Amino acid sequence: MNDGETIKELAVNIYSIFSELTPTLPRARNLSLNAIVTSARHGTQGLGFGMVSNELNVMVSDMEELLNQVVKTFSDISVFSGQKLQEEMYMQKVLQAEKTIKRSMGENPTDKAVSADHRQSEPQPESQGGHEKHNLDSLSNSLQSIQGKLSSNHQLMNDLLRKEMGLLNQLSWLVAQKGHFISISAKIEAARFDEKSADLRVVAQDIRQLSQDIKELVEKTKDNMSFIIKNLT
Amino acid sequence: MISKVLFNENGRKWIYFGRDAGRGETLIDTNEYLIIQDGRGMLVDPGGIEIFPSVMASVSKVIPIGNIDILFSSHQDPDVISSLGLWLRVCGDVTIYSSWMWGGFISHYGGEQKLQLLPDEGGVVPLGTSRDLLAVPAHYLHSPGNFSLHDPVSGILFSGDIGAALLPADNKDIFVKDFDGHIQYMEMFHRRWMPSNKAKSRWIEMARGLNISMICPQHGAIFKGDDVPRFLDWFDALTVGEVGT
Repeated sequence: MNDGETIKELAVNIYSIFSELTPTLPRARNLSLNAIVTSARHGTQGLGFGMVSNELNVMVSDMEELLNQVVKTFSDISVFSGQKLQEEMYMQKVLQAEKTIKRSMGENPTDKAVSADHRQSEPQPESQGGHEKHNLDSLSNSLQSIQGKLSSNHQLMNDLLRKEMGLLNQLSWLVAQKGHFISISAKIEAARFDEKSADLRVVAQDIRQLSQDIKELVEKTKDNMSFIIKNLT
Repeated sequence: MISKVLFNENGRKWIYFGRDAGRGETLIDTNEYLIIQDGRGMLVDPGGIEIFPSVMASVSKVIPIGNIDILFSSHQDPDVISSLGLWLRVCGDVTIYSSWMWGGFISHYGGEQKLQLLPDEGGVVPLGTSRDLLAVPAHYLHSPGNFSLHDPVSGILFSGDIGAALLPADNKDIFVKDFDGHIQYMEMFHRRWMPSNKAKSRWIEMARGLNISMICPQHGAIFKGDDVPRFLDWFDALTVGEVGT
């Protein structure tokens, strides 16, 4: 598998991770609501757990905003990648045309595949010397224009990829630090209750599990993105 | 790529390009035509993106590409016009003539485009100082928005897929030499690709009213002389819109 194919596969992977990450948001929202309701059932004793639940709610909103930006930026990156491929294909075809014209100028003006009777009918240039040289200049101008577009595309892609990595780092920090803090706090709060309050412990456990799941998905996205950045910039 | 001057009188020139020996095995062979009037050029069905280098090199022997003003696209198929984005890059200011149906479609082939969309009844395609090249309706033959191009000066009728033949690779004849022997290469194509007997009859009736010295299809060999009415009669008798032969 070449680098191009690997990048394509990684991009598909990232989309697939996004499709796993997106449902974690409603899951987190439900969990946050469940935590608030559960803490309320315990009255004043559940106030501490309630604060943890509110923090979880805030974290989910932050996550949602970040994730939307991550997906939007990745979609922009995909559009620019498509444009890059198209420009590269144009460049390849113009280079092939240039090569074909040069080869034709170096040989008898007739095509090798042309049979003798066809050669007699070979169109004569409008003026002596043909238009190959003039057209090579036009092709060269087109190539410069394509290269200019590729260079500007490259710069934009670089900017977008770095922006994406920054967003992923923020998301990663949010889940790793704040998520970890919330899940530990929930566990501590739940531990303050007696055996009859197993519901709080279940919620705390769920929060912990959710944080871990999201963290894993974000780290996978970062790994894929790092490889893409390394190979595209 | 083979090229041949089909007509060259009074400042008007028709040049054929085709049988690109270097094209990929999976690509259908296509004919491209260049019309020159007063030093200005029109590429008729410029071809697919894959054969652009060959067509470009062949055209370079004849005309500065900056002198190409018009790309005529008989219909929207990729073998007809998918090279559009590249021609727009290298030619500078060109106008694309095609059916009103395909403006939004061929724009997907890329580039910033100057489209001149033809109404169903067709119209004049101006080239240089001339105003006699006429896009004539050939709808449903095979595309629902399809045009032939008639030149009353040379008598050449560019017919797009009408008259097309899928020739064996070793057949390099630009003109049909043996009409009866040629039928085997075009019969299935016409039965399957052409969907409407009514559209076919209408086109034939229109063609019979034109002065035609050659019928130049986008695939296969050109009909000239007696083979022109012979082709029209054969096509008239053929039932189209069928799967298989």
